[in-house]
Amino acid sequence: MQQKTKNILLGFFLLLLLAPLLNQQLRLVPGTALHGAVRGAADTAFTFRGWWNGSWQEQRTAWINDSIGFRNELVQLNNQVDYTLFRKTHAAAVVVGKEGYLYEESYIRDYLGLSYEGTAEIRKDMLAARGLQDTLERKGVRFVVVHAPSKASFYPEFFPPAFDGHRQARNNQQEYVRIGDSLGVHQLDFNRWFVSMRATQQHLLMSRKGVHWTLYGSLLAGDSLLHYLEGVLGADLPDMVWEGGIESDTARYTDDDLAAGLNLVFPLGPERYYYPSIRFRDNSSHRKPKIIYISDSFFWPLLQDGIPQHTGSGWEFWYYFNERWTQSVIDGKEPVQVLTPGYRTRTFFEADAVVVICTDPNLGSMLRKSMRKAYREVTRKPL
Amino acid sequence: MVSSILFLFCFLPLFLLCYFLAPQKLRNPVILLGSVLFYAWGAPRFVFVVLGTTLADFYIVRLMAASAHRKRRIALLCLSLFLNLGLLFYFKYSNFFIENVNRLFLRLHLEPLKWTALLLPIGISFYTFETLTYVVDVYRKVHKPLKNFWDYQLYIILFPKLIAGPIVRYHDIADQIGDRSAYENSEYRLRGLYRFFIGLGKKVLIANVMGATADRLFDLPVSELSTADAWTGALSYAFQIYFDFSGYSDMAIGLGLLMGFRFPENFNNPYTARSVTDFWRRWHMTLGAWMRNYLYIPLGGNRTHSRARLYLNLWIVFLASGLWHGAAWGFVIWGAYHGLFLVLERAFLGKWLQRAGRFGMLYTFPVLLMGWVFFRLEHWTPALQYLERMFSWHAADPLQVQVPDLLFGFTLALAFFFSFFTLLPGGQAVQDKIFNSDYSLRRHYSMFAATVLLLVICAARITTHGFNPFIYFRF
Repeated sequence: MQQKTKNILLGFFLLLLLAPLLNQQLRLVPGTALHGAVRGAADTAFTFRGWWNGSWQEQRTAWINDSIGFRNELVQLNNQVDYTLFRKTHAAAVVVGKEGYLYEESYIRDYLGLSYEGTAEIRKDMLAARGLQDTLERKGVRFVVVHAPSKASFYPEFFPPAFDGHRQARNNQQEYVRIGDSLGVHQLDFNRWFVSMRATQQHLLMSRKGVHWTLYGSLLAGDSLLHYLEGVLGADLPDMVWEGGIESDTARYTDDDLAAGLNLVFPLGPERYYYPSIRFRDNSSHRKPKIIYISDSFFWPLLQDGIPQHTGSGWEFWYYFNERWTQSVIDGKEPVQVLTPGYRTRTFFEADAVVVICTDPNLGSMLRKSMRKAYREVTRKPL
Repeated sequence: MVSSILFLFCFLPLFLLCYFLAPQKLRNPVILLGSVLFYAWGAPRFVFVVLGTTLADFYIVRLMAASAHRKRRIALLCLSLFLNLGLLFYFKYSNFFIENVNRLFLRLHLEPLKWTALLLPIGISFYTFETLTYVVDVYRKVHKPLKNFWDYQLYIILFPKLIAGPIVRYHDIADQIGDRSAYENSEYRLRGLYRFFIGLGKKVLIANVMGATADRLFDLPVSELSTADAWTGALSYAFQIYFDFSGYSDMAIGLGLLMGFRFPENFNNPYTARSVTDFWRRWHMTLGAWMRNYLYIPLGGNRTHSRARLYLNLWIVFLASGLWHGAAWGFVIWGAYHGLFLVLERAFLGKWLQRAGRFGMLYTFPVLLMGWVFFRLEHWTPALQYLERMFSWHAADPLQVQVPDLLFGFTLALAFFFSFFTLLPGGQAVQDKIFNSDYSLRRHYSMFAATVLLLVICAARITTHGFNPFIYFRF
């Protein structure tokens, strides 16, 4: 009897060890998908050379690791155990704050001034921005820097306890705004605006589970940006018409992007999102300028809202000042292109407006690397 | 390799299925084929080195055993030693040798030697030492040489112990190659499974977590290390290397048991040691046994004319142990460092420590910790700089705010607990029950459930974190 029981235990364990391989081959149990930038390793055919130098084994091992049966469920289990027991995430640079608020850690450090770059460097960046602004405006191209809201500025009270009491005298974003204003750079500080609206807004402008402005928040920002551009371009742009909206516990688009990227077994607690219905009123008297948007991922919700498409003509989105996205790219008619200096300069002068959208952690990319580069390319002068 | 998804869910179950279903006379060939595939996967260029040297050794040893002439026997012994140690030196130490010669040449303004750095066959230190046990034991007539080449090949290339030990003396396993019936039953197979997954848990759940922190802290410029960070790094590494290596040994022992082999134990709660001498009776015990039988005793061992010679013998053994671990001055220093404390304990310190009893650990553990810094950093100057950081006050940079790593904290607590739990009342008894006593069916159910849980959690960890090699397979 004992022997039989032990044999059964042994047999069961062997089956348990075989189950993932069997499921990979026979696909008996469908798997769940993982969210985020998940790239599984590709399989590779055997070659003697590949075996001899070990590359085939390396690739095959990676492929097996990524494609074995129940792999995604195991990843979710691992993530859930670490999140529940240790408040640890396996999404890049995401930390868990109080009451389950999720942050990208770089936003917290920037808000607290722990990554402060110094006045001298920031001043150089804004001088470049001002130089670019002047050069473009001499050619009739309007230039504006938009400071998108930072979740750290919006929800500072929910930071992880380790960050309590570490606020420094200055942070980068405030200095960029201050120095930019003193140099006459055109700026829209949506960060400060969102923070000022927080107490009075009925609906979420930024969510507990996302890193970007909510779709609703981006619509408010987009609407304001359009009004600003109408004013500075002296043009009547198509109108955004708000036609009510619905509330939902289910996040859409990037509203819960941080939470989705955690890949947990049990979803985090619900939030109440608001999704307005928007219509664009466009008639022959409206003008659709050519606008170049230079931004990070904060642009995507604006695109989702339909703002560039309905209010601009020949709009372009330059992702991190490096990749060119247009309506044709979105529609799949052409590939994303890498921008060249010549193209950038030419297109700057063909545009009606250049809008630079930056967020705390990307001030360095947007307002340092990109603006200094743009200044040198457009003016052909050293900084 | 052993702690990978490929091994856990492909190689292991398919191998076990083939092994359990194979008729008795085909089981050794199944192990041999599995072992060759295992090594050929991880080190395709060197599988021929292993196969070739075992072929050469087998016939050299047969000739040696058949010879009645003492000088001929010695000559053949030397030939085998030369072949094996020569290959070990060539692959493992020639880069180090040439590097140091070139350093000297540069100082003397001479043209450095041109040399292409060699890759190290994985596990070469382990299987070379095992080969030497066979050769020397046949020479000493401890046992007769094997008649069947494939049995010898099996002994050397047996995959559970091939890449990171334990160093299994041929004498300990000779009978088991032909007859494993005493342990080829479901009782021991289940216990082999439990042991394997305990080892996997040690590696994946403790060693890897400790290792991530150790790597992060040891990779920082030393000027950025606070005193707390320096101690944390040293502690993390001490636990990483223990749980990594003892975890692998558990996995090797467990895998062996699944096939009916009983390998010797390699660790016995080394951090509970009351002296450095005691530590070496508990840490990598098979290396210690090898050094004692094949180096220390031939040098004269304890039976020397003078204390000075005894101390010298000890020091030579530990220099050799250090060098065995790696081709860098840090390992030599580590070996010399341990040798120094062993000599001091022989000279006078040992008597004081005997009187101190358990409090001896308060001396031993810090000594070991400092030694691990040399081992980890592999070079004299960085190790000294790191130790300086540990023993002088440097506050943390206030701008370097870190979210506390609760997983690390919990795992560190677990590491302390499992390193020292035999000191607790009943701790040793629990360990004996799990590893050494007979199992009731009820205990099997408990262990089985715990093992399934370990399998799932470890598999989840491994697949999320990808490739995670063992430290000791470098040797």
